[in-house]
Amino acid sequence: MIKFVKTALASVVATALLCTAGLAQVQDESLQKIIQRGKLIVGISLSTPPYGMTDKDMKPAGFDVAMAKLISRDLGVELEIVDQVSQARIPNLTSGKVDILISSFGVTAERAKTVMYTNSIYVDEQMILAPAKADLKNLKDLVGKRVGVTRSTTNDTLITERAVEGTIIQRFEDDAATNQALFTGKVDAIVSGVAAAIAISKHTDKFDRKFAVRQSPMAIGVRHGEFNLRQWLNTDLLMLWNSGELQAAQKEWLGVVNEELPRF
Amino acid sequence: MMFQEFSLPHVYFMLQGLAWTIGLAVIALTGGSIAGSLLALMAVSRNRWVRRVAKLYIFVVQGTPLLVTLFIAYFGANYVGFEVPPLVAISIAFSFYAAAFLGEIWRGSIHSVPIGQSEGAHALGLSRFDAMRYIIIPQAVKIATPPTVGFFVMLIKNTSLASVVSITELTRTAQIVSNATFKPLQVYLLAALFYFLVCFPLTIVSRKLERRLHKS
Repeated sequence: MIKFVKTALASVVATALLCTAGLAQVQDESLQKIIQRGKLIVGISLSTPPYGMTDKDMKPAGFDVAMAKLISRDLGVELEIVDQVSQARIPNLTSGKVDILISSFGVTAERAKTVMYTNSIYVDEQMILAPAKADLKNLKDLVGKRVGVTRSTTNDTLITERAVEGTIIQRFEDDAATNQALFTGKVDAIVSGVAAAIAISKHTDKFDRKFAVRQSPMAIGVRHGEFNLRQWLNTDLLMLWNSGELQAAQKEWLGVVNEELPRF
Repeated sequence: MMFQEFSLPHVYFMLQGLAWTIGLAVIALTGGSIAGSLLALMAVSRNRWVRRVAKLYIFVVQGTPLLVTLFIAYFGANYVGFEVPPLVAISIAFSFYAAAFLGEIWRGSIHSVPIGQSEGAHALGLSRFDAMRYIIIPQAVKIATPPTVGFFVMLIKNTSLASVVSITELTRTAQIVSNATFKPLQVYLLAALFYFLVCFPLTIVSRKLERRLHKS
């Protein structure tokens, strides 16, 4: 089904590319457009705590929301948040439904073929989380074990790529379902980010972080060709880092502060 | 970050989602019914080409997943340069989808009225339109009621796909709440109850309607 959607989307994108190829010489007004409109439209998934979630009054909250607020403040425009499911993130951006993505958006070379990334806003560590008594030290120990992961996330790509043959990967629709599978023993371990792991260890001490698999930088997604917007965002990210506001947002929502952020 | 307790604000939030779900269902049912009846009439037309167009439409739309239809209506329009508000895209996609199924159900019902009925009407000198209006359709409605209501109920549950195009309907609110509270079982059971409360009355009405039609 998802494959079918992807194929359908790919053909739509291909048609679009053909249509816009002739307009390549048009000046880049990506940043100006947002300022004139007076509103920045940001795509955020509100079902991915602690990045995007809702507070007790059901208002958007989380690290991604905090970043979106800082950025729209510095841009001097209003903020509009569009809630999105993770599969709709890239289509929302490329079709122009949103201006930028701040949506627990992990950097991958594959995605960079479709969208541009700003500098990182957070570097997560993807790790294996399992019951405290389980003896797991590396990927080989996962052979014959059921490993839960949330579908179409970078965690999914990672484990699919790196799992040793014989590992049983089980994919779930969202983080809540993945975590619940671990809580109820439906899987032996899950692939998780640090922030989510910290959140779980606050909830219960029955689970341990076993080992890290990979560093995973996250960044803001921008449409291909919108260099002015991307450059402004990079400048603002540097300013937010120098003022300490970016670190404060990391501390508040993710519980960890990166020592430095990769710039590229 | 702390986990929230599953509490009243969450239920209110899900009720807002329910309102969206009902709204979407009403749009889909209305749009689908209008387009569907047109399609059914086309499918029983005497003109071969009109019949073929209807058949092709039903063939294509029934063979495409609703999710893909939604993606094309919502994102596809942007790629070719139209700005389509989410609600419009969804209304179009759901109506197109419902029309194909309702058209086919109603065509079948019209065809399953015994041929003697229309021959009789013809022998009595009724025009084709009058025969449809007074003889065929009243009998077809009786046959069509159970499958139509069954499809309506399915369509209401299918509105959960609207979350893909950034509409925060019932299933999406349940996702958000379950991620904030880490209580998926309770949250999804409540969502299931909400869906049931919307769909169950439809089934009741259908039963009543059937009984009344059988009396007449």
